[in-house]
Amino acid sequence: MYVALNKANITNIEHLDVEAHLVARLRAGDETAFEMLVERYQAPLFRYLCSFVGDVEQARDLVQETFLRAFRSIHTLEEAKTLRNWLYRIAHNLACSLLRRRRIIRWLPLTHDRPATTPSLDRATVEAASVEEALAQVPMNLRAPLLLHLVGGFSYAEVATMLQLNESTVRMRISRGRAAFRRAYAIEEDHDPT
Amino acid sequence: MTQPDIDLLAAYLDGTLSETEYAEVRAKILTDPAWAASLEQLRRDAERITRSAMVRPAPDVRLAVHTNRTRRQMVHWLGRLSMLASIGTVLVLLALLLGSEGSISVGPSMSRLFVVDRGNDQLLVLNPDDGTLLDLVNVGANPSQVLYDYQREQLYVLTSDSIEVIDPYSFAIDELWKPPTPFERSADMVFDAERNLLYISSAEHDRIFVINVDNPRGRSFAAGSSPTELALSPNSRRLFAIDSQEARLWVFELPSSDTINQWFDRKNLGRRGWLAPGYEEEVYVLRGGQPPLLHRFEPDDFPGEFTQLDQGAPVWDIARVGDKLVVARGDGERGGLDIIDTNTLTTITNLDPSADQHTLVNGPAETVFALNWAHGAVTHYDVATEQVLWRATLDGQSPYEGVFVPGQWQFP
Repeated sequence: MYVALNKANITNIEHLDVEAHLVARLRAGDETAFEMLVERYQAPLFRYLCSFVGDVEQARDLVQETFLRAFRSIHTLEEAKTLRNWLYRIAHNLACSLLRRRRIIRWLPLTHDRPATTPSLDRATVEAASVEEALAQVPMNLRAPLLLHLVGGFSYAEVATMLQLNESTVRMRISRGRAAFRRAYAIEEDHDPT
Repeated sequence: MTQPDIDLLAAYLDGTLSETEYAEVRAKILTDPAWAASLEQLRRDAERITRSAMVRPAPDVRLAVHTNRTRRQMVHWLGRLSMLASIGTVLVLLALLLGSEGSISVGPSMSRLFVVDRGNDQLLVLNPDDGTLLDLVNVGANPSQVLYDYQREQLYVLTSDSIEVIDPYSFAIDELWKPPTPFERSADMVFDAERNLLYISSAEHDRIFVINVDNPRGRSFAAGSSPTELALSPNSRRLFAIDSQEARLWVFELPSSDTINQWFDRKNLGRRGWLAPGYEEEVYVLRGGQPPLLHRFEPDDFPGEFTQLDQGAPVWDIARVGDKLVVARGDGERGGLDIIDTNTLTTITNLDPSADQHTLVNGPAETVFALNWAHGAVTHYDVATEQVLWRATLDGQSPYEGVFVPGQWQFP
C-alpha cells in the first residue's frame, strides 16, 4: 500500500530519528548528548511539573532531579522511541513522592496586625494563580492524567501506559478531573474581586 | 448535566468517541443549549489550564544539572569511602566492647557547626575543631539563615520559600513551614527563645513576620520601610530592625511590637547596615561605606556613642564576642577581622589581614567563625588570644551563615 509522507509524518520520523540517535549517544556516555536532552525537554517537563505540584521552585528542582535520574538509569530505557514518555514517567513519579512528602509541610496562615499595601498583578498571572489553586483541589489521581493529556499533550493510550492504567480508566479520570477542576475554578472565580 | 454526560462531552472534545457516539453527542450539542454551554465550558477550562502552564517562563537548568551531576559523582565516591571507614569503625568499636569488662558509658555528643551554603542550597555540617565537612543536607532554595533552638533541639533554616525544621542529629527535615508569598533574599531571621517566636524581615512588604514555632501560624506587623537585618536584645525585650536604604534603625518593644524609637541618620543614606546585640538593651550598628561607621545605640540614652572605623577593606558583618566587637572585612583578597573594645569603641587590632572575610558566627568561649562565601573558606579565631585556630576551604561551597551547636550529654 502506498502511504503518502505528509509533513506531519516526516516530522514524526525526524523526531524518532533524533530520539534514537540521542539515546544511543547517551548510552555511550556522551556529555553533549546529555546537554541536548536537557535543552530539548526542560521546558515541557517544567510546564507539566509546575501545573502538577503548583510550585515554581519545586518544579524547577524536580526538572533537575528528573534529568539526573534519567542520566543514571538511561541503560534501563528499553526503546529509544519512548524516551519522552519515559522522562515524563520519571518526572511524574518524583512529583508524586514530593506530594506525599508534603504531608510534613504546613502552610502558614499569615494575618497582619497593621495593614500594608499589596502590589497589583496582571490578568494572566491572576488567572494562572486561580488555575493553580483550582488544580490543587483536584485529587492527585485525576490531576495527573488530566495534565499529562492537556499540558503534556499525550494521548489517552500514552497516559494509560505511563500511569499503568487501562485506557478506559484514563478516559474516566480525565473526565472526572475536568469536572473537579470546574467545581474548584468556579469557587476561585467567585472569590476573584476582578 | 450528569457526570456520564460530562464524560461523553470530554471524550467528544478529545476525539475519542466511536462514530455512532460522536453523531449522538453532536446532535445533542446542536439541539440542547445546556450541552452546548457545557462543551464550551470544558473547552475554555482546557485552554485555561494549558495557557496557565505557559505563563511561567521555564528556567534553564542545564548548568545546575551539570553541577549537581558532578557533585553527586564525587559524593558517591566519598560515600563509598566513608562506608568503608564506618565499617572499620564499627568493627573496632565491637572489638573494644567485646574486650571491655564494664558497661557502655554515656558521653556528650559532638559539637557541630551548621552552615548554610547558598550556592548549592545545602546545609553543611562541620566539625568545629578542624573544619572537616561531616555531612551535607539538601534544603530549599537560597538558604540564608540557620538558627538553633536549645529547648526543642532543632534547627530552623530560612530558605526563599519556607522555614525548614531540621533534626541536628539525624539531619531529617521534620517540618516545612511555607508562607503564602516567598521570603526575600534579603530576609533575616532571629529566634525569641523567651516566647518561642521566629521574627523574619520582609523589605518588600515593609513588615516583620512572626511565627510561633509550637503552633506554626504566622502574623506580621508593619516595620517602617524595608527592614532587612534584625537583632534581638538578650532579655528578649526589644527587637531591632535596620533599614539600610533609609539609614534608619527601628526599635520595637516586645511582645506588643510597638515602635518605641527610631534613629535616623540622613547623612548616611544608602549605606548597608549590620547589627550586633549588646549585653542588655543596647545594640551595635555597623554601616558600610568609607570610612565604615560604628554606633552604639541605647534606646533609653539617645544618641549613644559613635565612631568611624579605619578605612580599608569593606566591612561585611559584626558580632559581639564577650566584651569585644568583631567586624569582618573583605575586598575579595584581603580584609581580616577588626577587634574592637565595646566600651571605648576603639580598634584593638586587625587580625589575620591577609584573609578575605564575610560573615561571622559566634563560637564556643571567646571564639568566632568567619565565613567567606566567595572562596568557600571557614576560619576559626580565638578573639581573646587574637589567634587563628584553623582554616578550612570547602571547594565549590558558598558558606553564607551559620550556627554553632555545642555537644550535649546523651544517654543510650
